Amino acid sequence: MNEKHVICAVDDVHEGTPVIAQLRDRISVGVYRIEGAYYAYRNHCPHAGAPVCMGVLGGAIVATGGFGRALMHEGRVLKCPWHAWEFLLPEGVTLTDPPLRLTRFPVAIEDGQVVVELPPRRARA
Amino acid sequence: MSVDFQGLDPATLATRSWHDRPDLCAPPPAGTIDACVHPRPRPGELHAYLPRAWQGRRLPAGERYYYPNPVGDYLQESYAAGLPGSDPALTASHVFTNGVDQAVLLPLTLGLLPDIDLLSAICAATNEWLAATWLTDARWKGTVRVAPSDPGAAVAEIERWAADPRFVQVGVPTQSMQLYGNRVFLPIWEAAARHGLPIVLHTDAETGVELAPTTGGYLRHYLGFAAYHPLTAFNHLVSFMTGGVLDRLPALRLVFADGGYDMCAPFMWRLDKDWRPMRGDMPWMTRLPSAYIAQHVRFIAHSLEGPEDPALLEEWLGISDAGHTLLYGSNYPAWNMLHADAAFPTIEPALRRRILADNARALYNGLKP
Repeated sequence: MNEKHVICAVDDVHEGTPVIAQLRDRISVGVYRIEGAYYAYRNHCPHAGAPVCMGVLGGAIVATGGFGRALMHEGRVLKCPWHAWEFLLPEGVTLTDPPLRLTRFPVAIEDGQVVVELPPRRARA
Repeated sequence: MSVDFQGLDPATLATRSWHDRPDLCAPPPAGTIDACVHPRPRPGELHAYLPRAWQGRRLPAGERYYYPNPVGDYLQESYAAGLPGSDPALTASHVFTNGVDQAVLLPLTLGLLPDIDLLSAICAATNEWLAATWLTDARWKGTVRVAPSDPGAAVAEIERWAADPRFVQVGVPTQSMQLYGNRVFLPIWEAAARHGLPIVLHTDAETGVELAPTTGGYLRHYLGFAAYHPLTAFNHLVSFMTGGVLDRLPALRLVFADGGYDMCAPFMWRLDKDWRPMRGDMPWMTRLPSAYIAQHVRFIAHSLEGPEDPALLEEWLGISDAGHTLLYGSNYPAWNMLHADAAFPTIEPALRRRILADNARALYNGLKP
């Protein structure tokens, strides 16, 4: 059974700025509010283990056919602070091929609180 | 017409091939294809293939290099009938041995010239000459030479020969005043891709109308030049990728025919490392650089590239994906000609077969099975 962790009140999470919490002493999680919905990701870049949620949220430049370019996904592209890899939120997937993905945790809103569910602890051998 | 070797006896300069060392050789697989042989017109021969308006014009000397090789540019045995590579029968007798029975001819075109009309005329004449002389022997396949400095003329030349199955690729000099991923060249690559003709890059003669061979200028000696000049091809490769050419033209194939394969893997790693954070600069470049190399790029090995230790060599060829990206070419009549029986004689037979036969057959249309 998943473990539930209360992170903060819903009003504490603002668009564009995550709330970062330490769970089980060692699992860092970033909670984001995107277009009114809440999402939680492990604060760990799948590339090199950077605290990815410390990165800037912005847009991404994409091709628009031919040699045109446009800024797309504004406010939804998380740029890792170490190597600038880009992850499109809320999917949490890189914009590049082959894609890599952030670890995403389920989020529930209970009594005005943001609750993140972590998978059960592994039993120690 | 006599050939001027500056008063020197070519035999005293030229190197002699060493394929008669059985301890260094193994019979190549059946169907081996030599993907890089350099024919050339005999002195004065090209004029007959120029348009009348150009026939009275002096042409630049082809044998012009800032770095004449201190041990000779060509094999000793290739001088037997005049300029090395100028006699089809002699060349055939040297190339079609050990079961090699098909070869791709890559003539050079006197280097870059300020007069792009003259250069385009030389390219067109070279193609006429090749078609009328060497390509009458079905064992030879040809290269359509074009002058990228005049993209319109280059496209017209590709269109002129595209339906002739004797020509299997389009040749451009590695030297260029602009990198080939620049948009001005795009029509050339579009024409080649449309007709299924790979683009082959090879260093041409030096005329002074090119950039320095290294980013640091001119190395003092031939050794440095020979080691370094393939990096110019990598400049073009990066330009092709970042310029969006390879995304626009999935069918385009690039053949780097003048060495550098041994530098490709670490170079590829460097590109892969930083592509993701940098990709916004060139959003049309949608894949890892290594993915483009696997799909679009082939190298011709004409000297022993990579480690000499047989155990390390095989491992290196695996790391660098030689089973898909490497083709055998002798580079005849160059001093460092690689005979088929001396090409990777110690590696696993299936991999050797891919390098010496299968990869070329997969790349070029019109080779016999």
